[in-house]
Amino acid sequence: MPYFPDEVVEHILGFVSSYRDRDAASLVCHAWYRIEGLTRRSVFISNCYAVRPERVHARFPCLRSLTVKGKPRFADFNLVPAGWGASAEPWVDACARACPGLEELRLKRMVVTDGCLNHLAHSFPNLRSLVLVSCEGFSTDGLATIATNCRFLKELDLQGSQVEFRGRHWLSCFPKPSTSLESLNFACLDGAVSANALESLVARSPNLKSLRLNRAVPPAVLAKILTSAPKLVDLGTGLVAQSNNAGALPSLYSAIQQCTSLNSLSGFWDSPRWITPIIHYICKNLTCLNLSYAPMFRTVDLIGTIHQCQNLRHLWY
Amino acid sequence: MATREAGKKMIMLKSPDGMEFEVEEAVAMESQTIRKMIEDDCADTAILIPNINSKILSRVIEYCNKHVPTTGATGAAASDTVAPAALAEDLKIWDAEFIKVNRATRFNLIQAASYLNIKGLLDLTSQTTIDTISDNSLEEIRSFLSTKNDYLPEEEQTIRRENQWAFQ
Repeated sequence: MPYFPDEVVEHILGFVSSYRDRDAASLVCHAWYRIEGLTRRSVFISNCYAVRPERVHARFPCLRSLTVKGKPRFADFNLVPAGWGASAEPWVDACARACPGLEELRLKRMVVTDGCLNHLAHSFPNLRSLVLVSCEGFSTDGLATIATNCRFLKELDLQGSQVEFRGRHWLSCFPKPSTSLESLNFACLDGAVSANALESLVARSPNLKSLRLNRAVPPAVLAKILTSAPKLVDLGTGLVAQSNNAGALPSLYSAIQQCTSLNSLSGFWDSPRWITPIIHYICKNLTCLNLSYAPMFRTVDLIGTIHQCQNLRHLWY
Repeated sequence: MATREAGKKMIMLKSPDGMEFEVEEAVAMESQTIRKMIEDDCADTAILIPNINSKILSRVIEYCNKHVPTTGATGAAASDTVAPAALAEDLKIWDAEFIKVNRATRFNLIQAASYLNIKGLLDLTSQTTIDTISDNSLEEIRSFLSTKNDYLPEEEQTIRRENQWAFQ
């Protein structure tokens, strides 16, 4: 057996990305354990109580991307008592001490307070991605702190989180004159959105590819946004049927035809009468269509358009 | 330094088992280690390559010959007439054939690529090694690498438990 110097093992491990293979590599021998630990950039913690945050940083001192899962899945069905735990705070605190270069933080089913978001916003100047899936405990004030301080943020995803609404100003806190945003998802947010702030944000986010809106965005505003986001690939419309909005539909339909890169649609809450024309206009490009929140949508509504969607790969219905 | 063939600079590389290889300077400079020696004027006579036997060195030279950028009259494959994508595809197929070697040769090639600092060859050999061991059991990986397990049973158990509970 030839002897591999550390830098060669490091180079070889550079080609291993899956967690499973990396775990296996750490068990080969002491040298591989040490080098694997030093080179793992992305760490996935499947249960926040399975390991202490300090231990994670001791074993993986160079991590740049951290994913932590908190409460068990049945928390989604209100089967976990209040005060169960899964606080994000110890994780953010430990990261702030050990890993100020953190670029990605993904938390799932955890309690994230505004104080925690504030600490986060001031501790990680290079944060690129903040994903809070089914999290709770924070408000739009916390989001405002993130938007204000994380100037290189590319991704803010609040999928399924419970966000307390304390005003519309958070959307106008993103950097000026331009942002690095590529992906923004606030579909879960209850509460009004400032049309001006949203239009301005989209207009100064030239790299925006994915935008998932909440139900507070009327069709007229959506139409305006679409005309200033030509690179958009993924759109959550947030569309809700309201008869007083019907006048805006022609401009929305014409705007959506201009989005030539658009191939993924979601966030329909109502009214097949509105949705079918939208699907129709981009049917040739459409690869993902999510209608799971559109209970009024019936099979018969789909039949007319679905056969034109020749590139469709994912359909949630 | 010897020169021949329309002024192309030649370099002499010597393996520890006494074989000599005359190669174009551009080919030798695919190795960043040799490039540094040439640029620092340490390559007046033959360059001795320690620890790399003639069999491996000849394979390394074969790799560098294929991968040296072809400019003007130098290369056999005239890059002016072939599209870059086609050229890259051709190289990929060639690489795949090149790396069909036994385990010992591949490990020697990794060491050589590391010592000579030839990124393309190090990437190729590393990727192939990982492709071979991924999805294998731990014992198979240790045996493939001929690595001695230096863990105490309880140490291994602790890491195994931590991996299983926290990092999967």
